[in-house]
Amino acid sequence: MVSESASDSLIIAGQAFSSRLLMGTGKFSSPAVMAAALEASGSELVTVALRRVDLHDPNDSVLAALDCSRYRLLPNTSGARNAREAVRLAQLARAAGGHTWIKLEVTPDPDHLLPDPIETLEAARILVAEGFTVLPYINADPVLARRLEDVGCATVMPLGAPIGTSRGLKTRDQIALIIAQARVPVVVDAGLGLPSHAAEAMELGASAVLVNTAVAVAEDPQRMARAFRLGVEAGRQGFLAGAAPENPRAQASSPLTGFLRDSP
Amino acid sequence: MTQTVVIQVNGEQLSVPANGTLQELMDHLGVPRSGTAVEVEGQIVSEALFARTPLREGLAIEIVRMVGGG
Repeated sequence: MVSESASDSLIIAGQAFSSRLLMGTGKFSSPAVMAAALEASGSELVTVALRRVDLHDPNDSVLAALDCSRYRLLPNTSGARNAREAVRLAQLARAAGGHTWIKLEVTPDPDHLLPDPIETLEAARILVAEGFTVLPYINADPVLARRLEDVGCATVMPLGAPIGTSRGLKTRDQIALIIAQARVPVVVDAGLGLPSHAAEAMELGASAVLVNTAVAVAEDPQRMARAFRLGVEAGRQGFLAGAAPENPRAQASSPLTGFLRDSP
Repeated sequence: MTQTVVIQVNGEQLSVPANGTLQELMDHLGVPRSGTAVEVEGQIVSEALFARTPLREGLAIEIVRMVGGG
């Protein structure tokens, strides 16, 4: 019998996480709202960005509300338009807090924010060589995912839909291919808008999902964070349980004998 | 009158004392050290070197830190 024990950990680069929900920290209405939502999400791995200090308000920090003993911070390279800028941001993140885990994202076009596969692969190569643990955000491209694994990335993070769109798992078939071939955790990142989207990704066999906008801009972020937590858990259990096969035609669940009627 | 130099910090022109250091600039701006990284002319400067980094005319400095993000 398969138990629901804590042994079903998410392992990234040798580190175990009991939660399979990664959370972003952007767009929350206040640090307190963010802290409450993170708590409700159960997440242990949360993304942050790197930006210029506001010289007129240098102490303004949304992250002051973040208990760094409870969460591993995963700085991203958002804003990078090419490999060079992404590497620079990763190095600054390491200088700012000793963070060697990096969510690599290279998005040259602010209109669609889709990742540049060539620059991402180039940056991944450099960052792995510099000792970073690299978690690249990519389009749902199985060929690129394999190439990133081959250069030593710790995960691959294909998008479900473009960042912030809340449109769900539009790339479902390609993500299934990535999961089928992957030797590293597959984290579905971006575009998930509902707990059912997260459940769908997990049912498909994703190792984890990363959510930000869907929680941060919900009317009740704390409740939505809890809903995503449950969605991820439900989807994971559904995957582990082994789904019934689909059938093209109806198949009765009840016995087809002993009806209270005469034979036809 | 103290001599000054003009430097560029996070894209803004700042006039600072000519014999100042990066340490004094960070103190003057009130930037917390924790969770902050500093680049001078594109090179990361560790906190240990702030006091030994002089501010020269035209120097470009970037001061960044963690913010909320996805």
